[in-house]
Amino acid sequence: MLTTTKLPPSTHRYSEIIHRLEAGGSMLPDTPENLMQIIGIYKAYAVPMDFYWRDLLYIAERVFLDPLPFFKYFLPQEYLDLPNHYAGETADYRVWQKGEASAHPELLEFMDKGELKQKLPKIFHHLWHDRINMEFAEACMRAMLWHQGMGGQFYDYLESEEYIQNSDRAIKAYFKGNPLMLGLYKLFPEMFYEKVRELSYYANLGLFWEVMAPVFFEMSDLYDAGEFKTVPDAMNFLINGIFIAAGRPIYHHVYIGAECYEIIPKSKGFMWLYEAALPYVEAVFYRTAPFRGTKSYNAQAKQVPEEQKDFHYGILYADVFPVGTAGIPPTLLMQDMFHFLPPYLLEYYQKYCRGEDDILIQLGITFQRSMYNVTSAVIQALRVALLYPLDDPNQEHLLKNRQFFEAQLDRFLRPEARLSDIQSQEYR
Amino acid sequence: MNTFSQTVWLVPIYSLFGVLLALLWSPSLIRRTGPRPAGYVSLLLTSFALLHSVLALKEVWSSPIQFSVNWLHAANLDIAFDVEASATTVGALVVILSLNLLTQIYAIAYLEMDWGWARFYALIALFEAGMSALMLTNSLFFSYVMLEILTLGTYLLIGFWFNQSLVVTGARDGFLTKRVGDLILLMGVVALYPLAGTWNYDELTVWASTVDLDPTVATLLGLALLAGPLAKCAQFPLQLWLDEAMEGPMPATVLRNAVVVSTGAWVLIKMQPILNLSPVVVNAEIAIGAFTAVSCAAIALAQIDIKRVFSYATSSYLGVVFVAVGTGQQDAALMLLLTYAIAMALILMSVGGIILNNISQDITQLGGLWKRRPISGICFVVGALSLVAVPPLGCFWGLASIANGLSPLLLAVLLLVNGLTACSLARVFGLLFTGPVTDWTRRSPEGLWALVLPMTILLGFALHVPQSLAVLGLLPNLALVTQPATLLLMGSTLMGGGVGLFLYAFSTVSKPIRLPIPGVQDFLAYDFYTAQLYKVTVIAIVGFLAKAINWCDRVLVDGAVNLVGLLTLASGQSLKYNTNGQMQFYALSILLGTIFFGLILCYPLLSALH
Amino acid sequence: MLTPLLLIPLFGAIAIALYPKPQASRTIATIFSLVTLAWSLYLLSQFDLNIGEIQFTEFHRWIDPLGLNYSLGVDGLSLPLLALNGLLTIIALYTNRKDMERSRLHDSLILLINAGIAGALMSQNLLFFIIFYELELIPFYLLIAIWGGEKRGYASTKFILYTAVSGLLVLAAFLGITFLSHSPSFEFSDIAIDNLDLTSQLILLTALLIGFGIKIPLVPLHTWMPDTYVEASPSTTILLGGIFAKLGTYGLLRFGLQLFPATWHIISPSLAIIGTVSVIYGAMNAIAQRDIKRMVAYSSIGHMGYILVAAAAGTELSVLGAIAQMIAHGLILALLFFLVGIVEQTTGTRDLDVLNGLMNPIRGLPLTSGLLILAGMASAGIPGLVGFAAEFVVFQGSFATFPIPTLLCIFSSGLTAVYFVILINRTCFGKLDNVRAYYTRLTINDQWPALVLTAIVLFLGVQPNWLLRWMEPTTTTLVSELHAPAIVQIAEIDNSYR
Repeated sequence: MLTTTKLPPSTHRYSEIIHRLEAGGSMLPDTPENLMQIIGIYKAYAVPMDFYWRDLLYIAERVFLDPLPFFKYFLPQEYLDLPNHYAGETADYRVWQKGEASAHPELLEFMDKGELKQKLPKIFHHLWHDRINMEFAEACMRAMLWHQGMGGQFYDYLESEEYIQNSDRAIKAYFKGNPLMLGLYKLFPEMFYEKVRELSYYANLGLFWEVMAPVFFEMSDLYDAGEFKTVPDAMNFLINGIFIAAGRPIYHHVYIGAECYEIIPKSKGFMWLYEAALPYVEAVFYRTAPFRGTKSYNAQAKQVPEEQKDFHYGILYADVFPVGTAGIPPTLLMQDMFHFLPPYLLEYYQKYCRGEDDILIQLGITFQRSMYNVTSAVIQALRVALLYPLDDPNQEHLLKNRQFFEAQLDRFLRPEARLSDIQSQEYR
Repeated sequence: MNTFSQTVWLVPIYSLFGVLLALLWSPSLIRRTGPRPAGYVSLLLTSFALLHSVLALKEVWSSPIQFSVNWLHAANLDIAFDVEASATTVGALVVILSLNLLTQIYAIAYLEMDWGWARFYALIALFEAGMSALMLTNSLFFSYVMLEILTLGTYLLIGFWFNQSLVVTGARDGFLTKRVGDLILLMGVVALYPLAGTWNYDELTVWASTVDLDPTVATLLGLALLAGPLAKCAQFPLQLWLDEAMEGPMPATVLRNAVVVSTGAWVLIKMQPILNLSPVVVNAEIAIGAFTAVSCAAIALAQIDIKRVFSYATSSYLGVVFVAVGTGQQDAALMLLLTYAIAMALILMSVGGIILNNISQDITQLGGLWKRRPISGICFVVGALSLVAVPPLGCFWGLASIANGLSPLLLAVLLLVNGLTACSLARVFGLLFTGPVTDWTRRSPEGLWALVLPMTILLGFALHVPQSLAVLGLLPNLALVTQPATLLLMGSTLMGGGVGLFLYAFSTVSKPIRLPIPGVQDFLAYDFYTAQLYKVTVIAIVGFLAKAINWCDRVLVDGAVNLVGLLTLASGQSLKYNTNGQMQFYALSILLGTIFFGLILCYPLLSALH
Repeated sequence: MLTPLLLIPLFGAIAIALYPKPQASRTIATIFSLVTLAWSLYLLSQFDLNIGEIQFTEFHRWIDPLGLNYSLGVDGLSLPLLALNGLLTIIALYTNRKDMERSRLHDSLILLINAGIAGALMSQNLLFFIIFYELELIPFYLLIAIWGGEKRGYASTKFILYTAVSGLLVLAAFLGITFLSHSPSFEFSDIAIDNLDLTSQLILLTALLIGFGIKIPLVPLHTWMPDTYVEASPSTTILLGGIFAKLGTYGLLRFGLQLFPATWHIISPSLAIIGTVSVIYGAMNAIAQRDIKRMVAYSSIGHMGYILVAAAAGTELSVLGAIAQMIAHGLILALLFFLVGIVEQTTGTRDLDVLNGLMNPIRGLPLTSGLLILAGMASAGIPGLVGFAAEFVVFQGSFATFPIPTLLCIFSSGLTAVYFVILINRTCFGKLDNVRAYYTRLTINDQWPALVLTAIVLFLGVQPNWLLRWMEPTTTTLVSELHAPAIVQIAEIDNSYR
C-alpha cells in the first residue's frame, strides 16, 4: 500500500477523500466505530435480502402474470430451500463459508413468529404488517426498470424480437384455458410484454441479491472472527466479491406446470456485473425517484429534473431524518433491517440520541455510511477493471486514476450528497 | 322494519371509530411492526358503513324518515341534530361511501411504499365521517359544522407529506381559503337564526316562501351563505386552493375532486330557497358559476401538470352546477354531481396509475402509453366520455337537462365549457396515450391489482350509469335527446373533442402548442395570476396591518407605558432590564404594604387573643 | 361547604413547607390539589340547577366597623371557574419541571394561588374579594421573578405594577360604591346601587372597568401581559392565562354587570367596541409574532375580547357564552401554553424561523405536534372542540345586540386561524433540521396533562351541554336583573339628559 502519492495534492473539494481513495481507502473514514456499524448493518441487511431475492425469483418464475397476485409475498417452502449459488455445499463458489444454502435461520424464525413473537397463521402476520416489506425490493426493481442509459445490453434485449417470441410462448402457456386473458392478450399484446419485462427485472434483481446476501453474511462472520481490522479490509472483501460474481449469468426462466420457459436464457451471456450490479448501483444508490414526501411532482414547480440521468435521490443523497414519516419509501427497508440488528449494534444505538425510539433513523444513517463503502468498492473495482493499479510507477497512469476518482466524486458535489456528513461520527 | 334507517346515524360513527382505530398504528406508537393494519381496519369500517347505508336505502326508498337529537341547549337557543334519511340523502351516502371504499383500496397500492398509513386512513375516515354526516343532516347549522370539519380534514390531508415545502403552503392556502368561506357562511348562519328562528332546511324553505324580507338584508344574508359553497367548490376568486391541494397524494385527490368539493354544491342546493329571496344573490351565483366554468375550463386547457388540468376541470364543472342551481334546476344539478363524481374519479384513478410509475405529472414529458397501458387508457376514455356530453354516458343527461333550462347566453356558456372540457380531455388523451414514447414512458407496466381493480370496478359503474339512472327512474324524458339545445351540446363535444384530437393525437403540429399571443397563454397557464393577486391584495394587507399594529404595540403603546412608568417613578431610569436593587425595592415595598394590610385585617383576631 | 376550597390548599402549602423532604413537594401538592378539585366537583354535583342565586353560602362576622365579613357563596358563574382552578393547579404542577430548583417554594406558591383565586371567586364581600385579589399577586410575582426567563426582572416588575394599580382601582371603586351609596356594609347583597346618581355610577363603573380591564387584559391596558406570559415559566403562564386573567372578566360580570345593570346598558356599546378592538388587535399582533409563546399570549388578548363583547351584549345567550368562553379559553390556553412549553424545553427555542418538522414520528415530537394542531384548531373555533361551542354561543347571543362587532369577531376568528396555521406550519410541518434535531425523547409522563386537557376540550366540544348547564340558571338571573330595571332607568336617563 502506498503511503504517499507522487502526484501533487488534488484541488477537488473532496481532495481528502480522493487522497484516501488513492491510498486504497474508502470514502467512509476508517474508524473502528464505522467498521462496527457497517458490518453490523450488512448483516441486518443480508437477512431481509435473503427474503428479497428468493421472493423476487419466486414472483418472476412462478407467480408470473397472475392478474390478482394476492399471495405473491407468501414464499413456498421450495423457494425457502432454494440453494443459494454462493453458500452451502452445492455452491458454485462458496462465499459464505459457514452458512447453509437455504434461507437464513433468523429469517425463518422471523417469518414464523414475527415481532409478535407468536406462531400464528402466515396470513395473520401478513395482515398485521408483521413481515418483510417486500414492497421495497419491488421499488428497487422498478427503479432499475424505469431508468435508462445505465449500460449493459439487458435493457435493449427486452425490446428484441427474440424476447417477444419467448414471452409469447410463456404467456400462451400460462393462460392456457383462460379465454378471457387470452382474448385480452390478443387485443393488447404489448401490455403483457410490458408486464413480462417487469418480471425479467424481478429476476435480474433477484439474481443480483442472491450474490450480495452471502457476501454480507460472510463479512459479518469474518468481522465476528476478528479478521477485519479496518474499513478498507471490508471494502476489499467486497471488491473481491464483485470480481468473483462478475461473470455469473443473468437470466429469466418461468416455470409453468412442470415446464421451464426460458424468456432470457442463460446462453444470452448477460453478466452479473454489467447487467445487474452496475445498473443497480446507478439506479438505486444514485438515482431512484424523488420521494413524494420530500419533492413536489408539480410540473410547474420544476422540482423534478428534466432528465433521468440527473436524478439524485438514492441513498447516497437521501436525507435520512424524515425516515418514518409519510412519503419516505426507504423507511420500509429500515424497518426490515431493524428486526435483524446484531446485538452489538443494538447496544450501540441504545447509547445515542433517543436509543430504541429513533433507531430507524440511526440505522438509516449507518446504512448510508455502509452504502458509501459499497459504492467505494464499486469505484475501486471499476478502477481495477478499467484503469491502473494504485502503486503504478507511471505518473501518467496515476493521473488517469485521479481523474477517474475525481469524476466519480463530482457526482457528490451536489448539496444533497451526504458524503461530507458521513465523514463525521456525530452525524447519526 | 326500518332498523337500518333508524340507526343510519351510525354511519358517520363507524367512520369516526375508524379514525380512532387507524391512529393506533401511528409510527410513534407502533415501532416493531408496520402501519398497514390501519388501512385494513379503515376499509373494514367503510365496508360496514356502506353495507349499512345500502340496507337503509332500501328502507327509506319509499318512506323517508326524519328524526332529531338535541345537541346544545342554551337559554333560548336549542340546536338539534336533525337527520333526514330519504332516498336522496342515503343514496348520496351510498355513492360517497362506495367511492371512498374504492379509493381506499386504490390507496393500498398507491401508498404501498408509504409509512404514513395511520394518518392517511384516519384522515380519509374523518372525511368520510364529515361527508356522511353532512349528507344526513337536515340542519344548516350542522352543515356548517361539517363543512368546517371537512376544511380541517383538507388541511391535514393536503399536509399529509408535510416534509415537502409546497405541501405545507398548499395545506395552508387550502385551509385558509376554505376557512374564509366557512366563516362568512357562519356569519350568515348566525344572522339567519334571529330572522327565521330555525336552521332546519324544511322549516327554512317554508319560512323563505312566506317571509317578506328587506331586500338589503336578504342580499347580504344570501351572499354570506353563498360564500361557504363558493370556497368549498373552488369557485372564482377562491379557486386557487384546489390547484395547490394537488400536492396531496393521489387517492386523496380522487376523493377531493370527485366528492369533497361537491359537498359544497350539496349545501348550496339545500340553501337555495333562502338564496332565492334575493335576485341579486341568484344573479351573483349564476355569474360566478358561469365565469368560473368558462375561465377554469380555459385554464385547464393551458396546464401542463396533469393533476392541475383536472383540478380546474373540477372547478369548471362545479361552476356549471352553480349555474344550474341558480337557474332552479336542482334535480339536474344533483344528477350532474352524481355522474360527474363517478367520471372524475375514474379519470383520476387512471391518471394516478400513470403518474405512479412514470414519475411525472408533466404531460409534455409523457406519451405513447396506449399500447402498454390499455386498461388505464380505456378507463380514461370512458371517464372522459362520461364527463362531457356524449350520449348515453353519465354526464350527458345532467348537462342536457341543464342546457334545456338555460337562457341563450347561459346556454352559450355551457356549450363553451363543454367544448373546452372535451378539447382538454382530448388533449390529455393525445399527450398521454398517443404520440411517441419518451424516456419517461418507455417502461410502463400496468400497476398492482389494488390499483387496477378499483379502477375497473369504477369503469363498470361508469358504463352502467345510464341503465342505473333508468332503473332508478331518474333518467329524463328521452325526448330531451332531440331538443335543439341537446343537439348543440353534442355538437360542442364533437367540436371540442375533434379539435383536441386533431391537434394532440393525430397531427404533426409541433408541440408544445403556443397560442399566437403568449401573454394569454401564460395568463391561463398561471391561473390568471391568482396567486400573485392574493399576494398583492389580501396577504399584503393582512401582513402590513399585522406588522403595523405590532409596531404600534411595541413602540407606541408599550413605549408610552414605559414612559409613564419613568415619569411616575421619577427616577430617570428605564424599567427595562432593571435587575438591580431598585426592582426588589418596589417588590419589597409592595410586599410590606400587603403584610401591613393583612395585619390590620387580622386585628380583631389578634385582639381576641388577649 | 366552601371553606374547604380555601383551607385545603392553604394547609397543603403549609404541609409542603414543613415536610422535611423537598423532593416530595409535588406529591404533597398533588394530593392536596386533587382533594380540592374533587371537592369542587362534589360541589358541582350538589349544585342546584334550579337556583340562579348564590348557593352554599357561609357567613361569619369579622371586622364589623369596616364592614368586612367572612362571606362566601357560589353560583353558576363562579363554580365552573372554581373547578377550572382546581384542574389547572394540577396541570401546572406537572408542567415542565426538568431540573427545577426550589421546588418546595414553587409548589407551595402554586397552592397559595389556588387558595387565593378560590377565595376571590367565592367572596361575597367586596373587601374580602379585594384581599384575595391583591394577595395572590405575591405568589405570582415570586413565581415570575424566581422561575421566569431571561427578562424576568423586567417582566415581574411590570406585572406587579400593573396588577397593583388594577387592585387599587378596584378597591377605590368598591369604597366609592359602598360609601356613596350609603350601603350598610361591603356585603355584596347589601349594596344598594339605586341610591347613586348616574354620574357617580358611570365613574365607579369606569374605575372598575379599567381595574378589571388591566387584569383581563383589554387593549390598551395589556402591555404587561405579553412580557409577563412570555417570561414566566410555563406552569406560571398556565395559571396566569388560564385562570388569573379570568378574575378580570369574572369581576366585570359580577361587580360591573350585576351591580350596575342600568349603567351597564349605557356603556355597553363602548364596551363592545373595546372588546372588538381587543379581538382584532390581539389577532393582528399574534400574526406578526415570530415567538410562538408570544403568539399564544397575544391570541389570549383576542379571545378575552370575545368575552367582553358578549358581556356587553347582555342577552341571556351572550352572557352564557361569555361564561362558557371563560372556561373554554382557560382550558385551551392552558393546553397551548403547556405544549409550547414542551416545545421550548425540548428544542431550546421558541423561534418560528428555527423550528421545523416536529411532526416527524421518530425524531420529532409527534404527540405534542398532534395535540398542538388540535389545540390551535380549538382556539381557532373548529367545531367539535370546546372553543367552537363557546364562541358560537357568544356570536349567536351577541349578534342580536351588536351585529357589526359580532361579525367582526367572527372575521377575527379567521385571523386566529391564520396565525395558528402559521404556527403549526412552521413548528409541526416541514423537515427536521439535520443539525439541530437531536432532541431528547418525551414520554407519556411528560405529556399526560396535555392529554387530559385535550380529552376535556374534545368532550365538552362534542357535548357542550355539560359545560353550559351549570351556568344557565345564573345567567338567567343575571340578565333578568339587567333587563328589568334597565328599561325604567334608561327612560329616566333619557329624560334627565333632555
